Amino acid sequence: MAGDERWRRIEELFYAVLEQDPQAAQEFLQQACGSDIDLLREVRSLLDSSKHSLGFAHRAVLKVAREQVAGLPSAGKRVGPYMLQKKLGEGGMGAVYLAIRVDGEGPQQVAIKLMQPWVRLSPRILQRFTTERQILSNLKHPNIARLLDAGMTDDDSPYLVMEYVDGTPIDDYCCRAGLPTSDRLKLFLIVCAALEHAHKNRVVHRDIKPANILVTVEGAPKLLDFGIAKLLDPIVKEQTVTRLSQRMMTLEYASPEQVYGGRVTAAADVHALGVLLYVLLAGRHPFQLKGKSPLEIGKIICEQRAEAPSRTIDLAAGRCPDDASHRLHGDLDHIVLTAMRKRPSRRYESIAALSGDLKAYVAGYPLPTRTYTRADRVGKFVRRNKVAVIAALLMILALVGMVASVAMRNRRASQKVGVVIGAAMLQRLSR
Amino acid sequence: MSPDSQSVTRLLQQWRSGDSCALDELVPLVYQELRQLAGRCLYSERPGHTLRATALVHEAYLRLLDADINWQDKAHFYAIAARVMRRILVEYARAHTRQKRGSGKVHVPLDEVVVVGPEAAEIVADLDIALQRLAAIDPRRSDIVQLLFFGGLTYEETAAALDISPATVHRELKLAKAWLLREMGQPRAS
Repeated sequence: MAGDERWRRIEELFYAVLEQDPQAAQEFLQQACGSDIDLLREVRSLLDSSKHSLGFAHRAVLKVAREQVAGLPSAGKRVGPYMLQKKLGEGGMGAVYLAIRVDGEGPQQVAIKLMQPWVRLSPRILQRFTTERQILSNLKHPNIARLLDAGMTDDDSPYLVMEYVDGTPIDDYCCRAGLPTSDRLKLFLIVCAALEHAHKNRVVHRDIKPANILVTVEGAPKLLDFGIAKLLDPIVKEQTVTRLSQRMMTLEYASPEQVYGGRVTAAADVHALGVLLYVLLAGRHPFQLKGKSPLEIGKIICEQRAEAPSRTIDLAAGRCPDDASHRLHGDLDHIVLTAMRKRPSRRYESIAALSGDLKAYVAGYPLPTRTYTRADRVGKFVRRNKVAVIAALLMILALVGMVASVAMRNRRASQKVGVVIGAAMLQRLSR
Repeated sequence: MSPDSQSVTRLLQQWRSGDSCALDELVPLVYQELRQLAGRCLYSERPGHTLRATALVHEAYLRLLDADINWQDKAHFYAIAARVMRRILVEYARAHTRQKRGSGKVHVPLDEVVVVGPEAAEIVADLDIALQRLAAIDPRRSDIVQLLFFGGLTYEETAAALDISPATVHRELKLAKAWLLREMGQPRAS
């Protein structure tokens, strides 16, 4: 290439001149360039600039860097009609703040989600943000944190305003409140209903975990953070978003298909609910993941079979319900393990099916999805109809007793008769 | 969950073997690490501690990568980190120069302690454009400046990242600086 060659020539002359004493240099350069005036001018101008320092530019970079690393705004800054109060959490993509509305309209306390400044550079992540907004504006459910508003900051960054949920992650809440199994199941069923609502609106959450389910002081669970949620319709260009989301989700609650990058459907949420239920009932995660790298965790999630929660109850940690050891058995094991199956098609086909089983368990009916032995069915029937069965048993006992006593009396009576007859015969014989 | 060295290493390898999506996943990881490190530096209370903001790239490398990573991946990581840093800073600088040149709207920062002077912002934006032009005629010289200025690497680190000697870095830099200075307009007093 001609340009390349010319640059090599400039380079060569530039260094050649630098290495000579100034007197000889000028002469050398003129000779070397010959009739090529442009070349002479070019090398000369470069030699001129080389006498100055570029330090100012380096310092400018450092100055901007120092400013930039301060990054997201701190409390006290205004975003639209809101005043940021404190940072609630921060990740690589953005941060969520507690804020108050200063113009007196709408709810006082809100949560504001802002993007990291750099995110504006990535059209894909911007697209994510738009998708989240789109998804949330369609979801209205008492147990899903609502989207209240959205807008643009002064420096052209989009932000979302959400209902502020002052609560505790569901697992911590259950421990602190010392909830027994039945109450944990009730809470879990409410979460199921909220997520079912999302699924009905064709939204898969994809990041179900305790930190995203906060329970308020009133005991109401609220589903948060649809940051990597997905619309089941191919509105979003699927492939890129999924790959990106793969990196953004929490592995501990991820399904195998999320780990290996397969097709993610509503079944991923069913899986996460299974893991969540496991944690709520057994007081521990189904797998030992502490200290493991994401790669190892991914392998475990894809390959290792979870043990039944009833066999792994962690009483010592104090995070499972007090009655876990006698409540956790066949049916709950079956529900948790069915939701957590590796193959999406082998899990509950919907959240409705999962909660259907749970409701049947709570009411004492046989689970629709489980096959039982005759003895199990009888056992279920008895437990479910305790009063009636006991009454019936008592009645049977009473009847048996009555019959028996009648028989006894008869026997005693006949014995008496026998004795009398015997005595009479003896009397007669002795005469 | 903090990103671990294995996934960063794996993404680097994927990117090197032509998977452009890997870069989209790498950038947030690298960015997050840079931000966290920066935050810690800003709030550290060591007396006399000066923030070498862009030197964070090196620390991010130490934290994000396997110790036994090969030099090509190492070089790629530095290249990405410096590039990420450059993108972050240039975008930031542009936003600030835009604000200044904007429709007379006065921007009143409420809590920013340091405010980037429009001058520094403009210099960074100009430097970026000059570097882009340099990359077209001499990519390696452009890389050297990017690693030193935006990556915050030392000469030795830059040399190692590019698999050349520190002496070569010094030598090549001379022409690179002269070229950039001329490209950016009048040499300024400094």
